[in-house]
Amino acid sequence: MNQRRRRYLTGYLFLAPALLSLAVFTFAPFVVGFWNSLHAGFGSDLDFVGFENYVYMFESPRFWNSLRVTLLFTATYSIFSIMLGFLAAYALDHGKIRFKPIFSSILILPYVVTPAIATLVWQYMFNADFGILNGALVALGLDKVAWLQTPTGAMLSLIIVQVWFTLGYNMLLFASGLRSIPRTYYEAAEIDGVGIWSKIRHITLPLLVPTIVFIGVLSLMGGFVHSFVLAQILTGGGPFRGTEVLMLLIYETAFESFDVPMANAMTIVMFALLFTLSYLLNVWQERAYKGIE
Amino acid sequence: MRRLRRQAGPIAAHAGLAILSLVILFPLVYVVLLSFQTIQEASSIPPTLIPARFDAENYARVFERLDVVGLFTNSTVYTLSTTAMVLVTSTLAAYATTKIRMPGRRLVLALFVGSILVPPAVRTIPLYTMIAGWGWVDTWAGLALPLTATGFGLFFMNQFMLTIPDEVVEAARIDGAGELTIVGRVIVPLALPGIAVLGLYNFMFRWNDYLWPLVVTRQDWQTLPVGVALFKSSQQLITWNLIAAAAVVTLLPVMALFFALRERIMEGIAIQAGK
Repeated sequence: MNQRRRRYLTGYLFLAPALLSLAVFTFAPFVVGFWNSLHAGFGSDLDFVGFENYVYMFESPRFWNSLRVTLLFTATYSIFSIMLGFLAAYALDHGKIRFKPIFSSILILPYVVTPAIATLVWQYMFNADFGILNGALVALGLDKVAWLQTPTGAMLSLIIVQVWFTLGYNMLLFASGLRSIPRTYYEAAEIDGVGIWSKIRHITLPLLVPTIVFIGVLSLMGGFVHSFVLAQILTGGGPFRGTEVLMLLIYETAFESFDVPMANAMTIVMFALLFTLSYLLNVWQERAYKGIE
Repeated sequence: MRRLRRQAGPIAAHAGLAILSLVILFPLVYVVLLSFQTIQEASSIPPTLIPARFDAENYARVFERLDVVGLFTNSTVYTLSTTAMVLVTSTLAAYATTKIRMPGRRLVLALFVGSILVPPAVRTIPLYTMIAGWGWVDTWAGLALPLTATGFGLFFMNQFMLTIPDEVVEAARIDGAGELTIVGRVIVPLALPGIAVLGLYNFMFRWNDYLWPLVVTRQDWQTLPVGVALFKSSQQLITWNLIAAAAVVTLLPVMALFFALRERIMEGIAIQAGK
């Protein structure tokens, strides 16, 4: 008995560094940040103002614009990245594909690459005059595109780069989901003479619901979080705030307008939003599952 | 005709995958080519693909104009120190939750999973507020200590250690070994594949970090990705060929790791999909 209690004590000691780190650096900041968001002022010269920052935020068109931009970006890139990722995984899993490891290694490369650095390279490629993308368009006899000079073009560029970053990762997640579907299901369907699209619709997709939801939650986080490095480096949020995503607005509020309390208030709202959206996705998954059984 | 139809699928699949691979690969090949171009080649219309000469001049010049060595050192210290700490905290914690099984471990696990839902970037400003309050801006502690333990690492090691049979630990206990000895002599060797994958992932994540180092460092502890991005935005006429050289230097460590340990990275993603 005594020995077991000593062992438990050791267990708590082993947990201590991890728990301490999480408590201080993951959970405490939200308390500190929330408390800070109820103030106004610079540095340590703060006045308590209650929820004034939140009221101001919800009345600010710039905040709503950033929310709209973030959601548009997230929804559009997610759809393309998930569809292409699924198609690539399906091709890899179902056809008798040669060079499988080579294809999957190449497609996963952007997941490993330093985002800030790859985004710089893309910025160079998007250059209207000497960029390789417009160079290719001209060589094909087409018109140049003002990639980063119009709000629509800039949003399109952001989406292209984000799809480039996430496609291979989604493909690998789908591939491991596809491997878990027993071959016999497909064989049974083939005996019944079911076509390829029906097989995808009635066997593959329903069984992939957990994978799709997992990717959905990751894409949501990616859209809110990863959009920062893209927007900050590629477009600076412009033109005309057309790509000023929420995380960039938060960053600029803290480090260009030096309004840290407001940046904290926006962070709290963003976190609440992310939490709610991923919760809803999970609820949807449970519903969808019940539908199958 | 039937045979042709049967082959159409695989041919389309091969073609699609090949085109996709080329598109994905292109920017990474292009940046290497760009790093050898002269500034005239880098800003020519139409764009130059293959430089006329391959020499290391851009690399030599970017090392003069940007403190690449200092930035590289900071990135290395940040990455290796956080990875070492994450491995220690995660291994000890996972041993406690899976092999000691004290009361309250369920709550602890829920905390681990809960912290995964708070991606590091989301807590940037609150964390910065706290770190700045402590006067830790632009110090190693301010940069690295917030990443001593991650929800991802804790959960990952927990799942991995569940696969190690309890009998191994019980046998060692009967032999009279202390818990710390068991971790060091028995668990670490058995958990080595998991530790390697987690270490690899953590290395990549931290080496590639941008937002946190951008926010919390100024001069002394600036990391390589931040330094290269600021080097670009500080220029009026952008020297893309020099930036490309610095970019290649930044990508080198993660690329080398990737090609050396490709299969491990793929395994890691499969494990993530499984949870």
